[in-house]
Amino acid sequence: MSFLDPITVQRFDRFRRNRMGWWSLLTLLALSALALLGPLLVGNRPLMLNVDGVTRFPVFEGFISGRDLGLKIEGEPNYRLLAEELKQNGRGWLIMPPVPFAPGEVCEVMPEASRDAEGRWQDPRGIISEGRIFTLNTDGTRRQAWTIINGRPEGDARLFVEGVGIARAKFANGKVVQRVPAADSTDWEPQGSLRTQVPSPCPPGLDGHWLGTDESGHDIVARLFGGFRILLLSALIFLPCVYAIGLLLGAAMGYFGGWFDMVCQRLMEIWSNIPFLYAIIFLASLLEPSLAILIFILVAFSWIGLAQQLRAAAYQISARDYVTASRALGAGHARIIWRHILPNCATIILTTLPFSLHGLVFSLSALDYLGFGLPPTEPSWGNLLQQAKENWDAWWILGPTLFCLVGTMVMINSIGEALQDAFDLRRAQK
Amino acid sequence: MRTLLAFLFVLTNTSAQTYEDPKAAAYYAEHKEFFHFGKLTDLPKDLVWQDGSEQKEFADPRAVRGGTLRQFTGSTPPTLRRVGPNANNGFRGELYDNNDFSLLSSHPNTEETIPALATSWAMSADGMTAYFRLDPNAKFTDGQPITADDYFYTFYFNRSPWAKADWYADFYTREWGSITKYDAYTIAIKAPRKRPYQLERLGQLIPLPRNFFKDFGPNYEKLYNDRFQPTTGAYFVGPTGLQREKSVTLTRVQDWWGDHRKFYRHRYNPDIIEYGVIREMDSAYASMLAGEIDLMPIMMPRYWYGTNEKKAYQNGYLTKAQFFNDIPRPPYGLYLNTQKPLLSDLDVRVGLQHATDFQRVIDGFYRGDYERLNQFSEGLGKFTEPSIRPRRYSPELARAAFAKAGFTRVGNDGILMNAAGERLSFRLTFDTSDRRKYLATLVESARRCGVEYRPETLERTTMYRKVMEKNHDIVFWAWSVSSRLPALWESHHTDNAVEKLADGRKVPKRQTNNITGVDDPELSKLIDRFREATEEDEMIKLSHAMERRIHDLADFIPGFKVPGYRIAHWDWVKFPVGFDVRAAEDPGQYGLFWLDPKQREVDLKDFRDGKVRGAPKTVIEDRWRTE
Repeated sequence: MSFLDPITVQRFDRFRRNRMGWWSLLTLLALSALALLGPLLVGNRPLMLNVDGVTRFPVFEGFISGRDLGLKIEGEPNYRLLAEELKQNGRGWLIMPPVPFAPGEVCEVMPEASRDAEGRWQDPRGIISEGRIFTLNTDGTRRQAWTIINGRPEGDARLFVEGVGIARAKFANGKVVQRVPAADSTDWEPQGSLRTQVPSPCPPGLDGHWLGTDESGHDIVARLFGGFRILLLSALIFLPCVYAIGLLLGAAMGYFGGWFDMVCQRLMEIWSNIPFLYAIIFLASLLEPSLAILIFILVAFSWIGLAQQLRAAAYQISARDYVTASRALGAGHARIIWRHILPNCATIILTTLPFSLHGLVFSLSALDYLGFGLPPTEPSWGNLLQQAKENWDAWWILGPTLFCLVGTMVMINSIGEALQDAFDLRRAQK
Repeated sequence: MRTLLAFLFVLTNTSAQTYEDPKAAAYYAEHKEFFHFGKLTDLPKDLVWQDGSEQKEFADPRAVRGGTLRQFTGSTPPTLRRVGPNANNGFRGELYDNNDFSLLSSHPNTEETIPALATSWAMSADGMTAYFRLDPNAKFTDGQPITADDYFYTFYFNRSPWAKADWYADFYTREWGSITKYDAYTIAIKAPRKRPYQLERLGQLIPLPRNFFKDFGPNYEKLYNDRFQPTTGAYFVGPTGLQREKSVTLTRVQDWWGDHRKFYRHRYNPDIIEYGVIREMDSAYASMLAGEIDLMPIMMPRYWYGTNEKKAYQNGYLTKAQFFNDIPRPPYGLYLNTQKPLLSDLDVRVGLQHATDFQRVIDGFYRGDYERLNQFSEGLGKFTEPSIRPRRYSPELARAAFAKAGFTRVGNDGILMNAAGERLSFRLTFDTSDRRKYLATLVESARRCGVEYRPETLERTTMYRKVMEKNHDIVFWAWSVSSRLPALWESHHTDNAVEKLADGRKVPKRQTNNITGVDDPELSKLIDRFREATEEDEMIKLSHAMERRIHDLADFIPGFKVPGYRIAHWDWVKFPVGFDVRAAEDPGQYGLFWLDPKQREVDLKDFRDGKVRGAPKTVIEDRWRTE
């Protein structure tokens, strides 16, 4: 620690002594490091793949055509299905990431349907109360489907060829009572490899979805991870922007004072009176929502508080003797602001940082929750919360999302408080 | 109730005299070519009068009048005016469109013409003029008799600049030839030109209550903003009926004219219909489950299937009902803007048809309850070409079509590119409704075919503006369809696709319904011929040819169709045998159900006490199912 000046060392020690803040910082850093791993941890491309003796690394290579892997399809294979296939025909092996789903991937959970002792149809969750069982073609489309009510075929059964329904039958009390067209001679007895689809949101534990899926069929773990990555990315853009504007303008206002200060202050007062949420809703109706635009809007409304604080600090500092002295020595405005004013505002900068981050996480989630945020295909915690509101029964959406959001907020706040403690001069003198 | 009776009493008293608008009279005199006045003796002698009496009644004679139907609305209407600014709001259907009658109506099961405000009718030999005898007992909801003058007034009112209703002004000018009054209850209406289904079109005319419009003038918009315009239907909004942001109450007319008429009796049975404001659909659903709302559409899978676990259903108080109707299907699907780069290439469009997996959406999101839409014009009966099928999802066929368009290289992200390095990437626009939840499915399926859909969800009015400005690439959209006659001029004719600027340049024509920008001479020619055709055989042949051509142009990716409606209702709401009529889009449209208020009290008490009434009930009525 010898390369740091003693005051900094002291502050760092004080920060470490706040256990909550210190551990929060370590946890957040660790999580961010994990988030940087991205598709190595959460994704639907294998880390390593060996087919017919050729080894490849799809997670780094990106898109690989099925044809290059000796498959019959042009597009990218579904690697999870490919893994099973390779296991069966012994042509190779592959290693998937720990969470083998991409945040943007839509998963259909289709467990096998079976009959219980009384002949009622059931899936891993129990007797099917109202749903469908079906057989699949080799391309994954449905061939024949039956409506099941209370475990028995009731109502519609349909036969598809190339996706078009060509015949249907009506079941009543387990028997076919009507055929359309009347001349239809399909065998309507459910047989073959029958599956049922668990509607999204699907509860945890099926098909390798540790925390289930959301309304659109996305894996919740992958969604939470993707949402965290987006928050990190936003923070990396948002914080430098807000601080660049807030610091420079605040410092300039405090330092120069006079009419410049006057005009800027009035402009800021006007600007800060625009209700943030209304402005967002208004802009969202004019512009196509994207992360860049959202961050731009958030920056536009977030720099004011910081600038005000900086202005006050700079005002105070610019009256100090050492500023006057360096001015007398002929230093320019830029040099004085850069060398004297800003370094002395470091306390403010550092201590407000976590709270700006907190505000960002909150605002982004709130906007997504209200539906004015990112497109619904992008992973976001706010969107998950919104889904939880519409699906109260789906605790696996609400619980983990709330845990992540509250956890992150608490950690950020603890860091903020620890920093304030560390930089508090009155405490330092004790 | 006392105030209500007093109000009705006052109305009945004033109905003795009817009002003559001098400005309207002057207008009629000024437009002698349109407004004719004749005598009964002027009526042609050889007319063959018809009255539709051979058609069967469709209402249930067991229906009992009375009770209050509790419904909900997202918000109260900004105005009670029928036309002018803000009048085209979400509540207009309940106030006017479902609650008003024209001269003739169509039998909801057979589609044959039945009498409405006219009791009998006749066509002239040349097929250009229709004669109507009006029901002398028919009255507006304010008690004023409906006479020939009220039909004249419709033209005066709607054409007036004071009404601020451009669409209606145009409609009431171009789509009608002339109107003749023979006496207070006999009129004739002439068509503007030869066209098919003349009688049905001329029979669409609705009367306007000229007595109510005493103060009609330049300040109509403000003066009439909160006044309910009397209709010919069974319900009206009383002076206290609109409570802003709280509720709208419709009151039944006592002794309505329809109660004595075949086809209209035993209908519109509740005495009061109360729409409380509930902003969120989920809250409304919860209210319905608590018995505070009597019946509610539960189309969304999460409501339909979710009801299975609810007490009210399990204990046998609440019935789930699915009714299959047979109506023209709104073309839900993706509209490709063919005037955008890449999308102007037919092969690209065909490729997109194969790359968009609506079947997966139907199987997954809609749990197999909806059906794939075959084509743009579906459910038009004999006017629908039955052999057209949507192109199925297939990465192989999609890639083959894209290869034909020159997209053969694959980028590192798996998206196809052509020799010039252009990527197959399109903006896909959705509204912010529940449908946005399956955007991810479409995006992901397309990616497997080498296409990138860049999703965007816009608030509804923003989306509407963007599409009307023709700024979209691909948009999820649907038109409402009200008639079985294909109306393709609006959506597919060259007239609505391009606009020639003064300097000779062609640009997309804005603010038209041709949102795919299709500009195809062959199709336009077919549409023109269809619009002039009068023989049914020829019309069928032409409409099949048009539909085939649209399919070949591949500008519309058929999505899904909803084969009927699904509701949940408490058992004190009674439905007729057969549940509803073939043409019904929702139970309120033909008003065939009735209430049992006494049962409501008993049921609600028992339900709240936790008693079990019986086994869960699900009604599926598929008499009118089409496929």
